[in-house]
Amino acid sequence: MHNGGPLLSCRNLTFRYGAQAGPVFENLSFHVEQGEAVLFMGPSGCGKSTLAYCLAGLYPEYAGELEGEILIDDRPVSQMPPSKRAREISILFQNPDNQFCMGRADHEILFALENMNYDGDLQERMRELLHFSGLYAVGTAPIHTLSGGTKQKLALATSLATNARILVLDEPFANLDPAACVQLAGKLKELNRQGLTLLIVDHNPGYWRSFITRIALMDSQGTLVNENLLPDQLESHRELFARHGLFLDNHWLDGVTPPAADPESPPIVRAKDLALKYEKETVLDGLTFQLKRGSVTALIGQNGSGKTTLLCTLAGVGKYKGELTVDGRAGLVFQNPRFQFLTLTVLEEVLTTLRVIDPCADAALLQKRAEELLDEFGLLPLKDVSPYSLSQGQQRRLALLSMLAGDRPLLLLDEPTYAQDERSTRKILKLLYQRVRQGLTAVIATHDLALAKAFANQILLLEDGRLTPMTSKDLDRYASERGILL
Amino acid sequence: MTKLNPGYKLLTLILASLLLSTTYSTTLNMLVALTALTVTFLTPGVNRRRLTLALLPFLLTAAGMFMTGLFFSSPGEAEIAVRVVDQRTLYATSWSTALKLASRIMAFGGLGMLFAFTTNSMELVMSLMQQFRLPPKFAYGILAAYHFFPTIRSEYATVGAALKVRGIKAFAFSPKRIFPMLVHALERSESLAMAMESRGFEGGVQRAVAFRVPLRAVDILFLIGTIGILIVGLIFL
Repeated sequence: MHNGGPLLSCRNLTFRYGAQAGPVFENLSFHVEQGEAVLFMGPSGCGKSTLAYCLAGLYPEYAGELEGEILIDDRPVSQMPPSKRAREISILFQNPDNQFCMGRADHEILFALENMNYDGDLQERMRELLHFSGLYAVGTAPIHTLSGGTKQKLALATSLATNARILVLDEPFANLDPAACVQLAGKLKELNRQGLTLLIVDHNPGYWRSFITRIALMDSQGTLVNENLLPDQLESHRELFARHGLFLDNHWLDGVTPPAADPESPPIVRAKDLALKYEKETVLDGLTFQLKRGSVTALIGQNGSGKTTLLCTLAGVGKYKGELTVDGRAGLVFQNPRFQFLTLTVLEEVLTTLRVIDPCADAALLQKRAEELLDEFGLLPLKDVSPYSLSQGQQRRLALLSMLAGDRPLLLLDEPTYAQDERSTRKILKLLYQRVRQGLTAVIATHDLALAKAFANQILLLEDGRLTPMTSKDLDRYASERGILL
Repeated sequence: MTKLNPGYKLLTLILASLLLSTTYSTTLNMLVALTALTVTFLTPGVNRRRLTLALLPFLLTAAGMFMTGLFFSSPGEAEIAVRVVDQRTLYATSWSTALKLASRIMAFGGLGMLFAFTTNSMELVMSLMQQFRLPPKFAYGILAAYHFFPTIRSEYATVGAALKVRGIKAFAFSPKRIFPMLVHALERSESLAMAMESRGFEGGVQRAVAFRVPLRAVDILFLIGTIGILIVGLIFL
């Protein structure tokens, strides 16, 4: 089948979301050889996810207009019907929740095999795939009860069921805990060794570095700056990565230190023998801890260890047993900030919060206050835009602002840095740091152990329903035991 | 009961309901209700506690209809009501009217429960696709929507929590709660369609069948038997 030329070639790709809209990327051309693993990196909003959807043949069918050609073995992807295309190229999405149509893992794999009109023993092949993906034990479990990491493994298994030669991965680690990332990356490495071609889009080269062929770097205009960065020579390109605001490794945290919290400052949260429930089941028990005013606490633990449940309880929206005192009201920024937007413009979103704390205030005064805050957060030029059309980083900042505007002394953040490039991660941390210096107390639930280590005064681990305080050394041991990069 | 072909079971029960709707025979209705509920209750694997709970609304409605029939049907005073439904002869005495109304509710309820508690949703959709030519596009669309219910429930809770934390009061089905969920539902339907397509799903092409829902003689027998017994009942009761 393969004729010696590149497996995938893109010629003069130009993509727009609408006829009037500016191009997301313009005249993009590149080739990928059979068996390569290419990582596409670029600042938020540079169009790398859009490119992934185009390569998978989903755009322009679902959105926008595409000029140019994408060829697999000299045959245009745009002319392949879905059932043929899936044999060539399949995609793994960022959000593990919105990609399954069946109720159980085994059924989902069978569904993909049915689509392919697989002519062998369907059940047998399904069991093989479950086995390879490490899902044999959860084959008959309802999908909605699986953790994010398990769901991504299942998505991988269904992609393999189509027997595609190329797999596109759109930030597959975004929602996963580091241990799950290590496992999934291991599977992908194995598949790549067996000849599967991988096209990866991600913000962080971390887990990919050990096996990718090269990195292709895009700038914010969607132009390919360099498509041949070799993984073992990245050190010499440190300046290039910094210029585009991209992660290279965790050196960006070098200057970051925990805020200088006064050890004598009184606690704002006191918990003693706290027990928490999630959907009628006690998930956390015997929690005893304090949060000092003006400090940062990092909450770490696997997917499903109860971090979000604990944050919700501290914010006053969860039931608990035991003693818990919180001085003042807490604000909570959800992992997916889109759930907390209520209005149709960015400005209105901030005004809503301001009105709640001061219902009788003068409208002009509130407007002025809101605009000042938006300016501080770099969102003023976007004040009339819908919150839903902002980039992920901007949404995160708006969600943070709509909580901070309420003058909360305690702020709880669920995965504030996930799926963001270095520049927007830095922005959020800087804004947070300023507020903490003014006396804000922050709790950050995060999978980013390096961030926890650098930024937090106190690290708390949630594991097996228990809470354990960790020193920096404990954290190092925890990471190395699981093969996690720090 | 759970082994019957779900599509044919549905057809049988729909036909049975249509036949029942032509009668006000209390005896027949009560017999149907009792049989259906007994069979459901005795079917292995049925969650009996949930069945009992699910019956409560039917029992309440039946009781309500019974009282309505009892108090508002005496032949002299019920002239207006009687003319509206055009069923004058049926309103002979209060007791019989009351029983007729209540037993009808229970008969339909019983048939509904029989179906709901002994049928697997996925097998039903597969059967509709295999025996009744439901296009795969609809079939898998229905399944996907059905499987999203748990996710939607947890999203509803998240949006509720977000509102509460921001200090905004919103009642159960307030637009403030529904709006973010609608935005999500739109995005989800698109991303799901893309996911299905990238797994090679395409309407109208040959596909292998992993979930075969057989049609057997016993299904036809169930259809003919049930309808036959009902017709006999209609004639003699």
